[in-house]
Amino acid sequence: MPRRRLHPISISLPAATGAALAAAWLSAYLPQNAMLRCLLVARLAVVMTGCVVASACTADDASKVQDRCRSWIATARYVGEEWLNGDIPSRYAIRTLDKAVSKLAEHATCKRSAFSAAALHTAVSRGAPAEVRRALAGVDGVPGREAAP
Amino acid sequence: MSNKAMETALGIVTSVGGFLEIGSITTAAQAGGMFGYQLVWAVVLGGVCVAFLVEQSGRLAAVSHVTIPDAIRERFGFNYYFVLLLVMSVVSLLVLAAELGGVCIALEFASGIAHQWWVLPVAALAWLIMWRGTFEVIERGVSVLGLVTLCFVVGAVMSGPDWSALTRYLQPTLPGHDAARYWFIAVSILGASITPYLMFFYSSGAIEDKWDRSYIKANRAIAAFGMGFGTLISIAVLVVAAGSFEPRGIHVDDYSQLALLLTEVFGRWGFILVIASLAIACLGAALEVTLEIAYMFAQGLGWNWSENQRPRAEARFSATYTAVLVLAALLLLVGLDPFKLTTVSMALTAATLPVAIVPFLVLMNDRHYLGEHVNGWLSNAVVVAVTALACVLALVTLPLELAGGS
Repeated sequence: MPRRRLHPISISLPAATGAALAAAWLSAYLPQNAMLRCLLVARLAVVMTGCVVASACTADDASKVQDRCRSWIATARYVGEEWLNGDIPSRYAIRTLDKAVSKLAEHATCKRSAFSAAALHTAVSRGAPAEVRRALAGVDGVPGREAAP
Repeated sequence: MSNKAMETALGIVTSVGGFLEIGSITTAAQAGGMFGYQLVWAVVLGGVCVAFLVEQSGRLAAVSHVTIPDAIRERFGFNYYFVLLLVMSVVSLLVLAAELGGVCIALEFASGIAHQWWVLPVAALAWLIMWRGTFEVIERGVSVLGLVTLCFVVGAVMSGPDWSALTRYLQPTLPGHDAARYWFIAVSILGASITPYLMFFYSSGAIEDKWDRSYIKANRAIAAFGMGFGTLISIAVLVVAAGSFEPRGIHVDDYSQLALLLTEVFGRWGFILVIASLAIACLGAALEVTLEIAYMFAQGLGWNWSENQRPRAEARFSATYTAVLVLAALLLLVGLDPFKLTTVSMALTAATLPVAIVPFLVLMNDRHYLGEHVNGWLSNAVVVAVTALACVLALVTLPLELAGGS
C-alpha cells in the first residue's frame, strides 16, 4: 500500500498566501480593467489550491522508484558500452557511473543494482576493458526483483 | 541579393541558431526518452505559438516603434507593469540560472571539473560579452555559432526514425503510462518554447535595428522560417532521444545522461557535438535572458537603454544586467541542481504565461498602436488557445510534480 507523507512543499503555502494577499492589495490599484484583476486573483487562488492539495499528501509511488532505478542501471550499462567503444572519455564515464551508483543507492530496493554499477565504475576507473565486459554481464537492470535488505 | 533579403536571411539563420537552449534540449530529450515520439505534438504546438508571438512582437516594434514594456506600462498603468516586471524577473532569473548551469555542465563534461567551479568564470564571460559587445555580437555572433545544434537534425535523420509514427503523433494522444509525468513534460515543452523573454528580446532587437513598416514582410518570414526550423531542431532532439534512450529505458533525470544523445549515431564526435551544442546554445540563451531582464527594467522605468551604447551612457541598464548575472550565479553557487532548476523554471514559465501574453494580445488588437496592422482572428485564436492550455496544464501538474519529487 502506498505510504502517505507530508511533503516539504507545504512551506510554499504561506508563500502563496502572502503572494495572494500582495496581489489582492495590488489589484486595488490596477486600472479599470476588471478582467485582468479577476484573472490575477483567480490564478493565484488556483496556485494556492494546487499547493494545498500537493502539500496535504503525496503517494510514495513504488513503481516510480523502480522506473528510476531501471533508468539509472540502463544508463550505467550504456555508459559502459560506449566506453568500451571508445565513444566517451573515461573521466565523463567515471563521473556518470558515480552518479548512477549514488542515485541507485538512494533506494533500498535498488541496492543490488547499485553494487553492479559500482563494479562497473571500478572497472572503468582501472581502465580495464575485460573487467568492464565482465561487470557489464553482471548488470541485470531488474531492480523490481530484488529483495529489500 | 538585395539588402533586405540579406537581412531576412541573416535573421532566419540567427533565429534557427538561437532557438535551442537548455530548456528545449532537456524537455525534448525527456519526452523522447520516456514517451518516444508521443509528445512531438507539444513541440510543434509550442513552435507554432512562438512563431505567432515573435511575428506579433516584431510587427508591434516595426509599426509603432514602441517596445512591449513601454506599451504595456502606457496602456495598463504602472501598477500592472510592476506586477509583470516582478513575475517575469523572478521566472527569467530562474531560467537564466538554468542556462548558466547548462554551460557549466557542458564544461564539466569536457573537462571533468565539477560544474560548480565553472559558475563564476561562465558568469564573468557572459558579463564581459555584455559589457564589451554590441547587440549584433550577441544576436548574430552567438546565434550563428548556435548552428552547431543542426547536428541533432543530421543525427535524427541518420538514426532512421519511424516516419509514419512520427507523423501519427503530430496529433495529441493520451499516454499509456505515467500520465502525470506525460502532462508535466508537455507543459515543460510548451514553457520552453513559448518564452516571453524571446518576444521581449526580439522586439527590443527590432527597435535597436531601427525597423519600420517596410520590415513587416521580412519579420513574417523570419518568424515563420526561423521558428519553424528551430522547432525542427527540437523535434530532432526528441527523435534522437527516442531512438537512443527509449529502447534502453533511460529516462532523462540528470544532465549527465544528455551527453549520450548522439554517441550511437556519431560515436565520439557525438559526445563532442552535444557538448558544443549545449555550451553555445546555453550561453546564447543566457545572454538573451540577461538582456531581456535589463531591457524590461530600463524600458519600463524610462532609463536609457541600448546594448549598442557604451555602459557609462546607460549606467542603470548596465548595472541591472550585472546584478542579474550575479544573482543567477549565486543561485547556482548555493547548490541548486541545474537540472531541477531547468524543469521547474520551464513549467513556471508556462504557468505565468498569461501575465505577459494577455496584455500583449490586448496591445496587438489596439489600433492606437498598430493601425491597420492589428491582429487577425487566427493570430488571436492560436495564441489564446495555446497559452490557456499551457497555463492550465502547468497549474495542475506543477504542484504534483514538485510533490512527487522529480
